[in-house]
Amino acid sequence: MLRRTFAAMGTDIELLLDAPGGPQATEALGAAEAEFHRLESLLSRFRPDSQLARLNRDGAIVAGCELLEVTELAVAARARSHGRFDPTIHDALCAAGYHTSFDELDPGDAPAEPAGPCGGTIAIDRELCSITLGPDVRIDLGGIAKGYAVDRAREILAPAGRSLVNAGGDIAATGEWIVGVETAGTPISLAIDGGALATTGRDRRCWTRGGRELHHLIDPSTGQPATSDLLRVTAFAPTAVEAEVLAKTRFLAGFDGALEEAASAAAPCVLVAEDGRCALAGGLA
Amino acid sequence: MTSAAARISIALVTLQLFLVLLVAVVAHPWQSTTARASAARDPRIVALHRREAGLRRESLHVRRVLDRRWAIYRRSLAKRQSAIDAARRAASVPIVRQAATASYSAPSVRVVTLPAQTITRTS
Repeated sequence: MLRRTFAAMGTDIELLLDAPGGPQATEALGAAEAEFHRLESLLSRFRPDSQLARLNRDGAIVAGCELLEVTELAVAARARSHGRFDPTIHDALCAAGYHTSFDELDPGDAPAEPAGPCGGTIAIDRELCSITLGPDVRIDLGGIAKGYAVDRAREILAPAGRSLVNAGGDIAATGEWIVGVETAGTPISLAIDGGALATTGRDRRCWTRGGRELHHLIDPSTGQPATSDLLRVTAFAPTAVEAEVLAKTRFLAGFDGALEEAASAAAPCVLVAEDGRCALAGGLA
Repeated sequence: MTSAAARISIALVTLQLFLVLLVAVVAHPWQSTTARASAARDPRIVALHRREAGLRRESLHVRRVLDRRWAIYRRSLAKRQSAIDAARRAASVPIVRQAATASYSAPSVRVVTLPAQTITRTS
């Protein structure tokens, strides 16, 4: 089993490849790592020279295919989730204090700035490869960009053998792998055969502003960090992008809402509530 | 002694003549041709006209250059897009082949009691 770890996209990345060591495996691992760094340089909102930062600064861009594709995925997810997943949370995140990379975040005593509901136009022209934002609209592709990178790294590793990509909880695999999911008690082990898992919650990436604990999961309808009785959600889907979107929307639905939604969509997920309750939903058994 | 009706008529005719004269004085048509002629002779006006015509020609030229560049850009963009699509299609062939053998297209998940090889947590 070959394992490579590195830091990218503000988190720890782990690549597992079930293949004999050799130049082909090393090359595949190197290419997967390079893909993470390449996509981060294009899609990070914290890098002033990234395409995303330029789009947010100028309001329009002739974009590369990756920014175009991830933005399209985010816009489609916004429509599919009826606005519960929304890339236009950028300003709300900044207002809450998450305006720089998480490692450099200064807690500070100043209270969070007020923010209104998210939303706004994101016009994508496939023919011209252009993205145009509405007035005062800026986008954050945080989670979905990470999911996209995980999916791309899986595609790169797949020809080299059974593999798994784990970007700080966003996982995509080829072949069967056993993945642990944290709960309030003993971790649950899930056997995934292909597909992807994503975990989102407010037990990490949280900070204090003006004595108030805040986190990165913004409710687009209010522009404020979401209030949910859930602590963490792990969702399963064919791709990491879909799993990431599902995890976020389930989190906003709350424990009971997420149970119902997962059951009706037959989308497996693990729900961990703030009070310690844990549920397997969406046909997961 | 004239009658009252005759006096009123004379007064009205006088008033009408006065108004016609006033309108003619205000319009001063005898000056317009002179003014036009002098304006045409005014070198500043001539220079302005010339400059305006020059700017029109220049803007037309810029528009033509822009149209030409835009067309080139559109063509190169389409070429680039098709190259990217072709590269993607080529890259996806081995992945699709791999997927057929690794049940990659039909993912599944179930709870097991085996030790985890990795862990998913909030990122």
